[in-house]
Amino acid sequence: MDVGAERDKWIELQRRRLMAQPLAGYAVGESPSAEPVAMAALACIAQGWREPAEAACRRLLEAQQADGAVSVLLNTDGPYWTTSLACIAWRRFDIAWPERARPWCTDAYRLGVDFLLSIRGEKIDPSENVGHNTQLVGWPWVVSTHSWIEPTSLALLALRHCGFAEHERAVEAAELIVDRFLPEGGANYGNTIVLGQVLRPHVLPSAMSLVALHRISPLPVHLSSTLRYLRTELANQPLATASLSWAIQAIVSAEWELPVEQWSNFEEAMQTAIVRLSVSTADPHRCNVLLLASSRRDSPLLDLAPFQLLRQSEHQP
Amino acid sequence: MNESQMPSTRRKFLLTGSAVVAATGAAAYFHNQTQLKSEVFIARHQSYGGELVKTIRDGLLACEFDPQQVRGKRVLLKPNLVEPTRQSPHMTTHPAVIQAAAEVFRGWAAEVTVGEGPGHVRDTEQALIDSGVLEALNDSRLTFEDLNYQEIRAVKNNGRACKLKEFYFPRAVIEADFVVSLPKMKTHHWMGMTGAMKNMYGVIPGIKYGWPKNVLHFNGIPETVFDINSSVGQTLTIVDGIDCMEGDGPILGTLKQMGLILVGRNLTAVDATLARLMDIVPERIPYLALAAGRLGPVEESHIIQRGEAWEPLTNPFMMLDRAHLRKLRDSQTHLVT
Repeated sequence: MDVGAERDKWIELQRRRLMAQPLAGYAVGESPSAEPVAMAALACIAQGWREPAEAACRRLLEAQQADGAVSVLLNTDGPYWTTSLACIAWRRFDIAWPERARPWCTDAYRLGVDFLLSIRGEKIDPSENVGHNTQLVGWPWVVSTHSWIEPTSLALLALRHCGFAEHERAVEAAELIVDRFLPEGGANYGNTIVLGQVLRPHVLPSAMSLVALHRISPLPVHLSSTLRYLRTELANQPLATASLSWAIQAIVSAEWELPVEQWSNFEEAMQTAIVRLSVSTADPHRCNVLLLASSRRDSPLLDLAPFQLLRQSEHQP
Repeated sequence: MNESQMPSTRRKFLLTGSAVVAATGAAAYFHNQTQLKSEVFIARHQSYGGELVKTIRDGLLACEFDPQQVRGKRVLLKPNLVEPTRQSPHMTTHPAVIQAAAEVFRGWAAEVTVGEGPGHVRDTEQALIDSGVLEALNDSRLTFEDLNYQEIRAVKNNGRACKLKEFYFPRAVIEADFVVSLPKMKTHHWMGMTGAMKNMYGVIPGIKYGWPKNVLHFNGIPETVFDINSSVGQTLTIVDGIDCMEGDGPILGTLKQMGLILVGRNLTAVDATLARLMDIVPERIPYLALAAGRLGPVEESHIIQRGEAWEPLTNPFMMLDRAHLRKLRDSQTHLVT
C-alpha cells in the first residue's frame, strides 16, 4: 500500500467534506460547538482552504459576546474556556488571508484576549495534601474554580499567537505548566501529588502543554522526560485520535531545531488513525484534529516565535 | 443540519421543555423518599469469565425488579471509567460486567446504550481504548454516549444540599428511562469509599463542568453527590465488586479481590452495604449521611438482604492513614501510609 497516496486521498476527502460543511459538533449529528468549529478553522488554515476556514471563523464571531467571550456551545451560557481557541483561529486566519480578515478578525481576537486577561483560576489554600503551587492562577475550565493544565495551555497559546507572549499572565501560565509536570515527566489534567502519592501522566495534556511551551528557552526541567513519555506511549500503545494528534504536534515541536533527517516519521500512526476513523463513524471533529496534525511543521499552532521562560525556578543547568 | 434532518431522538430532546425533565427527576426523588426499605442482592464467587448474566438477572429479580419496566425503554449503562490505564484495570468497571448487564436488559427487550463522562480524561476515546471497553462495545454492538460532550439541558437540582440551583445533564441521561450505575467497589481518598452514588459524577458533562469536574468540588463533594442522585431520575445499580481497589483509591490504590457482584434498585442502600463489606461505618460517609432516609435506607434494619448475607463477606479494605479516613471505621486497623 502506498501510504502517502492513501493519506493524500484521505485529505482530499476531508477537503470535500469541509467545503460542503465546515461547522461541526463533537460528534456526528451534534450541533456545532466552539472547539470543533475552531479546530476545523485551524485545520483548513493549515491546508490553505480559505472558504471553510472563513465560514468557521465567522461562526465563532457570531457567538462572541460583548465582553469578548466565546461559549463552549456557541450560546450565552458559558463556560468560556473555548475563547482561547477562537482567538487562535481568528489570529491565524488574519495572518493567512489578511485581505479577508480585516478588520473583523483583528477586532475579534483583541476583544477575546481582553476577556482572557479578565479571568483567572481561583487560588486554593496551600496544603501538604496537594503537590502543586496553588497560588498560580492560570486559567480554569469554569470561572470561580481552580486553574488546570489544558485551559491554561490553550490560553497561553492564544496569548502567544495574538502578540501577548510577554504579558505577565503568559509568563505565569508557562510557570504554572512547568509546575504541573510530574516528577518523572508528563502531565495529567493538572494535579501532581495528592496525599503524598504521585499521580499518573496522560497523553493529551502532556502533549498540549508541550505545544503551549513550543520554542521555549531555557528548556524547563521535565520537558525532555515528558517528550520521552510521549514517544514511549506513541510506540507502545494505540492512541486515540485527539491524543495522537496533539502528541504528533508536541513531538514536531520538540524536533523544531533538528535537521530534517532526524525528524520523526508518523506515517504509520497516522495511517492507523485514518483507517480507524474510516471504519468507525466518520466523526468530523476527530477528522479535523487529525487533519491539523497531518500538517506537522505547517500546523498553524506551531507558527510561533521563540518564547523566553522569564522566571528562573525550573531551568536546566 | 436543519431540524427535519435531525434524528428523531435529538429533535425530541431539543423540543422537550426543561420543566418536564425537572418533573421526572423530582418524581424519582420523592419516590425514593417514601421507600422505607430496599433490597440489596449480593453474589459471591464471581469472576469476569463466569456467569455474570445469570447473576445480574437473578439479582435484579431477587430485588423485585419487574422486567416489564424496561420493555421498550431506554436503559443507559453508566460504568466508572474515571481515568483508565492498562496498569490498573481494577480502577475501572470491567468490560465483562458492562456486556453482561447489557445482555440482561436486552433480554428484557430494553434499548441499551453505554454512556460515561470520564472525570479526569478529556479524550474519551482514549479512555475507552485503555479500559478495554471500546473492544467490548464493538463485540457486543453497543452504542456509546459520550456524556462529556453531548448536548445538554438544565435540570432542577432536587436535592439542594449545595447552592447550585440546577445541573446540566447530557441528552442520553435525560432521555434514559433508567440510568444504571455500574461502579467499581473502591476506596476513595477523600470520601472513604466510592460506589453507586459517587459514580453518578460521570453523568455530569465535562464541557460544562471541566476536567476534573471542579465546579462540583467547589460546591462540596458530599453535597453534589447527594444532589446529582436526587435529580437524575430512575436509577438501578450493578456493582463490579470482583477485582476491587483498596488503599489510595479511587486511582492509585491496589488490587483487592472480593469476587462480588451487588445489585439493587436503591443506590443508597447498595452503597451502605458496600461500606459494611469494606468495614466502613456507612453513616460516617458524608454523602450517605445526607442520603439516609431521604434517598434511601442506610440503617441495616431497613435493608433487605438478598443472596448472600453481608456479615460473613466483610473483609476490611485498607485505607490511607489520614484523620478524615480513620474516623470512618471503629477499629483503627487496616490503615496504610
